[in-house]
Amino acid sequence: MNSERLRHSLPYTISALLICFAPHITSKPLWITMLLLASAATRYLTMLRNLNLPPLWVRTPLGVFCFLAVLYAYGGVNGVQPGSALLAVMAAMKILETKNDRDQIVLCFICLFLILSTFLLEQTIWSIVYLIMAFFMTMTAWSAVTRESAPRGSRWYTKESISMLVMAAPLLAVMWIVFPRVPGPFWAIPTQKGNTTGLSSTLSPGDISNLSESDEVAFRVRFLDTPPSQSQLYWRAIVMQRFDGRSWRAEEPTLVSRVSAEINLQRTISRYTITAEPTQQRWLYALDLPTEWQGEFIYMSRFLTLERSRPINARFSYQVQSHLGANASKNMPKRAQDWYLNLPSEGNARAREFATSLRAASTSDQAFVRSVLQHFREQPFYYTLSPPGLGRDSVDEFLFSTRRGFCEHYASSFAFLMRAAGIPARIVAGYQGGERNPLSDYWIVRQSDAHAWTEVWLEGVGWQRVDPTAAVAPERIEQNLESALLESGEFTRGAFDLPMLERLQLLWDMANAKWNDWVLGFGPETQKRFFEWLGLDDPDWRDLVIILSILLVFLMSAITLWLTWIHRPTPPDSEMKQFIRLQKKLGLPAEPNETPSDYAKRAIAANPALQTKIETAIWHYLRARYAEDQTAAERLPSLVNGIRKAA
Amino acid sequence: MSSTASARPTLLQRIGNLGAARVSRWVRKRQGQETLPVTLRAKRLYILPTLTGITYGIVVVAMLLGSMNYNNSMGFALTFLLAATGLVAMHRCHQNLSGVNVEQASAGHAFAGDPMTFTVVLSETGQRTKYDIRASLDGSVSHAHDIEPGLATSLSVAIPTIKRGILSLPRIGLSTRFPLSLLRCWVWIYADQKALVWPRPASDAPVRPKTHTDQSGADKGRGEEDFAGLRDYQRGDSSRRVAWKAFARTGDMKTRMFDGGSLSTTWIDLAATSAADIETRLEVLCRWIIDAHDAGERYGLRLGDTIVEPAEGLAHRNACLDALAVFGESSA
Repeated sequence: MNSERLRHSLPYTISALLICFAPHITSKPLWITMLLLASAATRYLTMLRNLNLPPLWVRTPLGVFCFLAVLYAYGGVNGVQPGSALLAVMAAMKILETKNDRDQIVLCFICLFLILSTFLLEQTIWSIVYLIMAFFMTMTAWSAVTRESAPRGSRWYTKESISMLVMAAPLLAVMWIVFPRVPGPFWAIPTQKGNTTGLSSTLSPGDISNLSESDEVAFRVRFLDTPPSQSQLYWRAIVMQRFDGRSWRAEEPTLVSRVSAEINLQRTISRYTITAEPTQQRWLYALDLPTEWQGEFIYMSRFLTLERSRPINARFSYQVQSHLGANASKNMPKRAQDWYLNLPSEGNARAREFATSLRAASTSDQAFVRSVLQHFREQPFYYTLSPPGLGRDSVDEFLFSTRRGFCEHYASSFAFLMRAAGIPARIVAGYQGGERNPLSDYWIVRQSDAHAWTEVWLEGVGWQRVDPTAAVAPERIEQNLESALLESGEFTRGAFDLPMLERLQLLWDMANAKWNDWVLGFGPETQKRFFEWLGLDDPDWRDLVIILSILLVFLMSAITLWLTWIHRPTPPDSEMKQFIRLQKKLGLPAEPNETPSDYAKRAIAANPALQTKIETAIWHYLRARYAEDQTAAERLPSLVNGIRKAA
Repeated sequence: MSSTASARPTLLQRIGNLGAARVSRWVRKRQGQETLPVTLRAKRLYILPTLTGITYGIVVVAMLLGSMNYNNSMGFALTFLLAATGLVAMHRCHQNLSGVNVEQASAGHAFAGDPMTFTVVLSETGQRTKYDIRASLDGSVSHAHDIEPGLATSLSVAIPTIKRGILSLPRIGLSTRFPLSLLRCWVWIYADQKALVWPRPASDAPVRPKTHTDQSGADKGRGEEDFAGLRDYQRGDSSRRVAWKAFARTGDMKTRMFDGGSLSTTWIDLAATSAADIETRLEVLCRWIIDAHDAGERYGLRLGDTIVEPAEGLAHRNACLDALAVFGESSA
C-alpha cells in the first residue's frame, strides 16, 4: 500500500526538486549537481525494481562527507551560496531515505527553500518564470503526495495546482501591494565576497578602462522634466582627494544632511528618479549638486555627493533634484584649501616643473586651466582603451612620453598639475552620459559609461568641473564612448549591433526597467508613492494592515462565493421540473426511494379517475428523461397541464 | 487492541482525553440529535490546521522575515504566493465537505472480537466531485474516497468489537484534508447508531443435544426427508438443499422443499447449556446455531422468555444471533 503510493508520487517530488535546483547548477560546484542527480536516479531505480534503500551505514558517512565537502568548498556555512549548497546536499540525502509521505513533504519544503535561495542569489526578469514553474511543480508534487484516495493521473494534479495558482494570484497581488514593507535588514547580511561591481573607492591608471568593457547596467534614470544635454550628464559618485603618486583614494566621508549655505545656486534645475543596480557599496549617483532627495537612508557627504548609510544590496530607487553647473564652497578656508593641494613630497618632477612654469606664464588660475587644457588638445595626446602601462612616475610618463590614455590618466595628471601649481583640485569618479531608450522615456547608464574627471577650486568661483578628456576627445562627452573610440578605430561594431537587434535589445532593457520599477524596486518608497497616488497620504503600517485585512476578506469572500457557485446543487432539469409539478398538482409527493412507475401506481390508486392521464404523463416523462426522446419532452408540459385533480 | 486498552494513559493523554470529552459534550449540545439523511451545511463544519499546515505556516513566517531582511522582492512574491495558497487551501478544504449528503449509515454483523464493518453511504448534491473524504467512527477511520456527483459512495469503517451486546455508536465523523493536507475539515453527526455484536462462537462447545420436540413432527412420525417440490433459490438457503441436478440441467437454482412436518426441527435452548457464566453459555448457543445452520437444519431458539420460532436460512440464523446479542441488555 505504502510503496504503491510512493511509486505513484515520488516521480513528481523528484522532478519538482530538480526543477527548483536548476538555476543553481551554474553557481554550484559540479559535484553537488552530480550528487543530486545520482541520488535521484538511485532512488528512482530502487523504487522501480523494488530494491532496498541504501542502508544507514552508507547514508550517514555519505551525509557527513558531503557536509564537510560543502564546508571545504565554501569555507563555512554562512551566506546564501553555501546555504543553498547545503540545502541541495540535504535534499540529495533526503531522497535516499524517502520512504513515506512525510519524507516527501519534507522534500517539498526543501523545494520551497531552494526557490527562496535562488531569489537571494539573483532576481532577473526570468525569476518570475522560474517562480511560476518551480512553484507549480512543487504544488503538483504536493498534491500527488497528499492524495489520499486512489491515485489520479498527472493531468488531474496539474489541473489542481493550476487552479490553486489561479485562485492564489489575486491574493498575491493584494498582499504584494498592500503588505507593509518594513525597510530591513534586521540581522547582518553576510557580504558576498568579490561581488562588488562598478566603481571603487580608489582610482589607479587602468581601472576605468577595465570597467568600460562591461555592458552591465549601472543605473537607470527617468527625468521628470526636460532632460539636460548629453554633455551635462556628469553623474557624480565618488570624490577622491588623496593622491599617493599613482592612485587616488576617497576619504571616508563625513555625512552632512544639509547643503551648506555658501553654495552658489544656478538656475538650471533637473529632477530625476534613479534606479541603481546593487553594488554592495554605499555611494549613489547624482548630477552636479543635489539639493533635494527622497529615499531610504540617503545622506549627503561633505563632497556634496549622495551616499546611503547602508550598502546597496538590492536594486534601489531614489528621487533627486539637482542644480546643474552649481559651484559649491565659494569661500573655502585656507586649511581646507591646503588639504586639496596635498601631493607626495617627491616624484613626477617634470610635471611639477611644467606646472609651475606654465602657471608663472599665465595671468590667472583660470588662464592656467585653459592653457593646460590647450596643451592636452594641441599636443599629440590620444584617447585609447588600451594605454601602455605606466611606472612609478606615472604622471611624468604619461604627460611626456606615452601620451596615450583613458579618462583616468587625463583626470589624474590634470589634477596633479593643478595641485602642483597651487590650485586645489580633486578627482571625481562617476558616470558620464548614458543611452536614451527611445521606446520608453528613460536613460540607461552602463558600466562602460564610467568616467573620471576633475574639479578645481577657483578663487571667487568655488568648485568648478573641468573634464580634460573633453579636450582630447570631445566626442566622448558629447556622444558616448563608443563613438569616441569608433573615431580612433578601436571599437568595431559587432554583428549584434544591427538595427533590428538593437531595437530588440532596447525593448528588452525596457522590460527590465519596468520589472525593476514595479517588482524589484517595490519597497517602502514605491508603496508610499502608490498610496499617495491613490489619495492616501502616508499610511503607516497599521493602516496598511487594516487595508490588507479588508481586501483579503473581500477577496476570500469572492473566492468562497465562486466555490459555492461551482459546487451548487444540480438544478433539476426541465423534465424533472415537470415531474415535480405533477406531484404538486396531485398533492402527493413522491417518496425518495420511489421510482416514477411506482409513484404512478400509487397516484392512480389515489386518483382512479385520472388513470390514463397520469399513465401518459409518466410514460412521456420516462421517455423524455431516459430515452432522450425530444417529442416526448415537448409534449410533457401540456400533459402535466391537462391533469386536474377532481375537487 | 487489548494491549493498548490495558496500557495506562499518560498524564498528557488524560488531559487530552478530558479536553476531547469536553469538546465532544459541547458539540453534542450544540448540534443535537438528528436522523439521516443529512446534508452537510457549512455552518456545522469544523476546520483546523494539520501538523503539516502548522509547519507550513512557520515556514511562511520564516520566509517573510528572510525576505524583509534581505529586502528581496521575489522572496516576498514567494512568501505571498505561499500564504495565498494556504488561504485558498483553507477555503477549498471547507468547501470540499460542505454539501455532501449523508444518505444512510448501517452496521454489519460481527462476532465479538472480530471487526465490525460500518458503512456510511454518501452522495454529492452539487456538480463537483468531493475529494478524499474519510468516515470515522469511534476512533476507527475508513479509507479515503472521492464522491462523484450523482453517484452514491459508501465508506466502510472497520470497528473493533470486544464484547457481546449492543454497541452504541453515537457519533459518525466525516473528514477531509483535501487539498494539500494543510488543514483538516470535519463534521460530527449524532445519529445514534446501534450495532449488535454477536457472542463469539465457543471453540469447544459440548455436543448439541438433539431435541426433536416438535409436535407436528411426532404426529407424522416418519422422521426423514419427504420431498415436497422445488421453489426458487433464495439467499441463505443451505447449499445442501439446492437441487444441483436440476441446476446442471436448467441453469436455475432451485431449493428442494420438504414436507414441513417431516423435517427434523431442533430447539436450541439456553437451558440445555450448563456453564456457570451466562456469556459462556451464550457462546455455546452461538456455536450451536452456526452448526445447525451449516447443517441445513430447521431450528428454533429458546432464551428463557425470548423464543425465536423454528425456521431456516441465513436471515433466521442472523435473527437468532441478534437475539443472543441483545439477551439481557436492558435497552433491548
